[in-house]
Amino acid sequence: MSEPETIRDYMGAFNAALEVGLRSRRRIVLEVYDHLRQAADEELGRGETEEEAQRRAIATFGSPEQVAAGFQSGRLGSLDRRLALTATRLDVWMARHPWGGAVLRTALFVPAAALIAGLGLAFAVPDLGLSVAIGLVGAGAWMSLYLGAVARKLRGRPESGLRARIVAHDPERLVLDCHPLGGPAANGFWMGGLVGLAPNVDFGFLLWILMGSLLLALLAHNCVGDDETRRRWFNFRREHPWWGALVNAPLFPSVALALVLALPAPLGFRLALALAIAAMMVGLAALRCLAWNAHEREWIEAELRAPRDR
Amino acid sequence: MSESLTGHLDLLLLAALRPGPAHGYAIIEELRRRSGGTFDLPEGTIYPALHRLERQRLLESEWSDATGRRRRVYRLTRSGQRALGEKAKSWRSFARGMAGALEGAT
Repeated sequence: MSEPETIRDYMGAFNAALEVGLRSRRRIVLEVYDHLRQAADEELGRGETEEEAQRRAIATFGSPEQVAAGFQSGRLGSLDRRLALTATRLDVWMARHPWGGAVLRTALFVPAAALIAGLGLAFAVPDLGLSVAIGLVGAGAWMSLYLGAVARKLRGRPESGLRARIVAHDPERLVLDCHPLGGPAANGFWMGGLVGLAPNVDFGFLLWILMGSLLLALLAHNCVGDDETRRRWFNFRREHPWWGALVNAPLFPSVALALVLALPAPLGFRLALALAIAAMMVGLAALRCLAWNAHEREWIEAELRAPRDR
Repeated sequence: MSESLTGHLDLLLLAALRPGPAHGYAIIEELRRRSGGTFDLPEGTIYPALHRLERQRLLESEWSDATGRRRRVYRLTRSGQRALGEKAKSWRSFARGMAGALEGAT
């Protein structure tokens, strides 16, 4: 592999070689970038061209692999490594095959969707106390599984190359990764609370409309927002994980499905609506995957530029 | 020179921060200035060391916008000041011993 000659190429190689958790990664990447940029600016002040200034800054800093190796924690067990490798391959595959990735992502929601949908139907049980109890137990069981999975996923997992970049550009996952308890706990609040409210169909329908509107607004924002707006939103959610997680909750299709199933409409209509929502989620997930591919470099650059722009 | 420096990097970094808080680039400049250019490590090697010292609670750091550019600024903790004193004392003792042993050797 040829040695990088620009700061941008150096940061790409460094980020790919760095195997640390996400919280440390962001800080390290920003520090290294800041150092290289300052060194290059000093060279510019001495009359060098931009290209030569960057080349000199890189030359005195050390190779990306060597510097990245200095940050390795070496705390990972073999099982974690295997899990991490599997997760990495899965994410890389999903990023490269957006439609397949979207279907896979949706499939991951199916057990939860089935559970919550079942809970929604359980509200048809005349005994309100019993249905609420079923809802709470179901939501609790789902959240326990979810928390366990997230905690497992996060435990010292190395973040190599493409996967790290994918994660770094996905605010929802960033919130979850940086605040493994805060995000899921907030989601649990929403899920349990909304399912519990669903027996009141009018209120449930109103909530569904509100959630749908918010969902569409967020997705529209993701699709058309410029990099600066996205960066602000990205940072807001990173720095305010509880609010980020609360806003994230409507993105869970399982909640939407549960509320749809609680609508006062014929079963065929409700199922068709649920299927339409599932199809929409597949399409939107595909768009997200496509956006990751298309904007990967821009995201990195926007993030790296951020400290200088402030 | 850089290889022999690596083992003493922690002491050098703690000493460079004794005058006051500084960010990574300024720490390297300070080391170069103090050593008259003798201590010229690959610049990237100091960041892992700074992070390690922070994990050991000898340093603490925070983002600063003071110069118009956001930077991670490091400062010595009380433990860091104590460690600096101990390491410096140990180093001086070692250096005196070495000087004595090498006296007249060249």
